[in-house]
Amino acid sequence: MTKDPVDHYTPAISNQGEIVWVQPVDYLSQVFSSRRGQLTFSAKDHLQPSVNDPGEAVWIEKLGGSWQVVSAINGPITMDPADHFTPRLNNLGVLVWSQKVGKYFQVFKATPHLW
Amino acid sequence: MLPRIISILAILGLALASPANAQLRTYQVTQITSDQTNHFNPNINDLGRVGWCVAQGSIYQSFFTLTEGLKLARASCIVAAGSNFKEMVWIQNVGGYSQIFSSRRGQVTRSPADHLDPAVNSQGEIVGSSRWVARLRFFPLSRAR
Repeated sequence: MTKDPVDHYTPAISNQGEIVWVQPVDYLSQVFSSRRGQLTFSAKDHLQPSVNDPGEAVWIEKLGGSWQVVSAINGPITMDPADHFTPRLNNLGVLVWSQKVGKYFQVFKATPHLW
Repeated sequence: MLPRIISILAILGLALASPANAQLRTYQVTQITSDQTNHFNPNINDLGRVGWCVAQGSIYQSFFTLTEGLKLARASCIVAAGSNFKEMVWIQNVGGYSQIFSSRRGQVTRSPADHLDPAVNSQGEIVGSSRWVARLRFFPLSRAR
């Protein structure tokens, strides 16, 4: 599907067929969408993207020295000192990810509340 | 005092009427697992069911477990993903290369290259990345029935 001469990795696909992935731009990992082009632009690495049917994309990026879950729509979801990995979200915007608690990686869930 | 209250209400009304309001969210964060093992690659469906991979000892066998404790599948894998849990995909080594497997379709990649990072949606479309002459590309595979 992609053939340009840079690495494309960790793709995810929504039920609508939108694909998000990571590829380097100026030696930094940025998130791209098959429908919307480049989604992240800040001068840092953005990894492990996922996208739901409404088109909300999430990924991890370093904030405050640790990997945090960030939404393209809602901004940072997590802000605690732990590293957070492999976020996924359903079509209601509920997210899950894994993060280390003590010696082991545990699963966490974030349920959105509209105000 | 009254004009000030009215202006505050107007600002609130504008905020609530704005399409951007749908983007203003707070989140309630809860820990789903707590047992003394590593849990990887969680996923959640629209019904709120959560699954994840668990490393099993030093050989890192993994399986996808629902919150109810049901094992959906088991394979020699360290990566698994699912969408609505109708289908799982994972990687395992075949003849020195990482190949993508599906819980519904068996082995789905066979070319002599490493295939990584599989993901699948509820339509049965699988994406992954493949090392090909020192670069990676991702590819959609055929739809499931």
